[in-house]
Amino acid sequence: MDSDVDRSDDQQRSADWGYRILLALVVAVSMWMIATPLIPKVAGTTMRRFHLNSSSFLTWAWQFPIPAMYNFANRYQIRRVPSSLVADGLLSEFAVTPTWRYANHFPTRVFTFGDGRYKVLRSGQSVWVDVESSYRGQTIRSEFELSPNGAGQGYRLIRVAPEDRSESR
Amino acid sequence: VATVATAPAIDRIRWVHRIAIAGLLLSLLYKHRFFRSAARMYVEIPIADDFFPVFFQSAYTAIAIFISIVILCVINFFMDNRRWQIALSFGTLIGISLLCLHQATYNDATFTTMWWSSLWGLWLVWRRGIDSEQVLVEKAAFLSRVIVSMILFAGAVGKWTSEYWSGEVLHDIYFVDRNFWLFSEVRQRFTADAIREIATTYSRFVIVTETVAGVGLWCLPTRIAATTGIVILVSIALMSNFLLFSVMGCLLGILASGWFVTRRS
Repeated sequence: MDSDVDRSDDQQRSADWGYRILLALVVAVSMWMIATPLIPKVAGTTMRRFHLNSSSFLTWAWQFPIPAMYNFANRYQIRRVPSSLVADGLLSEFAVTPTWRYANHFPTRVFTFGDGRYKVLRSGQSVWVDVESSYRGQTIRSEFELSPNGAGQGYRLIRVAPEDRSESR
Repeated sequence: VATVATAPAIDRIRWVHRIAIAGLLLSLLYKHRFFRSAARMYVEIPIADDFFPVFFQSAYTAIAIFISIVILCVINFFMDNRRWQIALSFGTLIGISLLCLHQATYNDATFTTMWWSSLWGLWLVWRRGIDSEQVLVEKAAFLSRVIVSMILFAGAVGKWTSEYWSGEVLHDIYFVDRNFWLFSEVRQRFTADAIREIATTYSRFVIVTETVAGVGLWCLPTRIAATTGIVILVSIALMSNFLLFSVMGCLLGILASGWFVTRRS
């Protein structure tokens, strides 16, 4: 009886648009996730999001509600010399190839987030960071140069090769 | 005439709301030491990056927003006035949205889970007084498990790749040198080859658990879903990284709403 009263009362009450919108958002994100392994462009969009290499800040920003915990195989390596020295033959690849390590998500976190920023940038010298994300055979690689801005002024981030090293394998 | 003593009815929505706010505060404050030291790094070592608008590069922006969110949540916890609850919840949602876009905090999953939880919290207080208590608690519990299912599913899909299935990624992140009770214990007891095998099993277990829970949690009966979801989230933190209680805290808070659903009489 009470439940009947509840139902009839609720039917007369205003439509719950908040409930519908929240459900629609969950469905939209789930659709995006389902499309990720099926459509390479979707996975590529997320990889560029992880590399802070989306075509614009707005393109990157609208993706923020999409959970990304431990998504994709994200690797990074930190170098104290630019890769151009290897390309020019001034240094052997062995001399500038440190260890690649995996990061859980957003591999750029190794130089933007918390203690990672301290570990990578405390020297006050230029640092180069290579970042690579792979998912089901698709790989995107980015290179970042972090140069000191001057004493006490922190660093300036330069994208050495933001898009042109993207590849599918 | 015989009288039957009945327990005083509790305001279930008030408790659901308070527990959800407590979950948000757990997420915010659990790793406060980390956040405090990180804030110092952001002030001492700023990174100029044209990709982010200046507002989203400033360390002081992130610090001010973080402190504001803590204050809004504390006031919201004690607030009973619906209009104030809506205003405080809206402010919290805006603040967390900004942190999700800030250079210093974009990558922290804590703010992603908090964003979904605070959106849920805003909807809850908005409907307070419009829906009956029974209907609102039922809808809140359903939405909470739908959100948690979606988050687990997203975690699973991102791991459906050979590097995770082989255990390579989690071996490097966790088993090689992570200072955590489980991984330290494994390193002490097993050879390198055995550890690599254990990492593969561990990784596959994570993928299967997240996939099954992501696909199925939302359609379980209310109380079973709430309990199962809470057990899974707590297990993830206990078995991989205690700091993940920061990511999970707000989700635990909204999942608890399932325990407040009673059978319609």
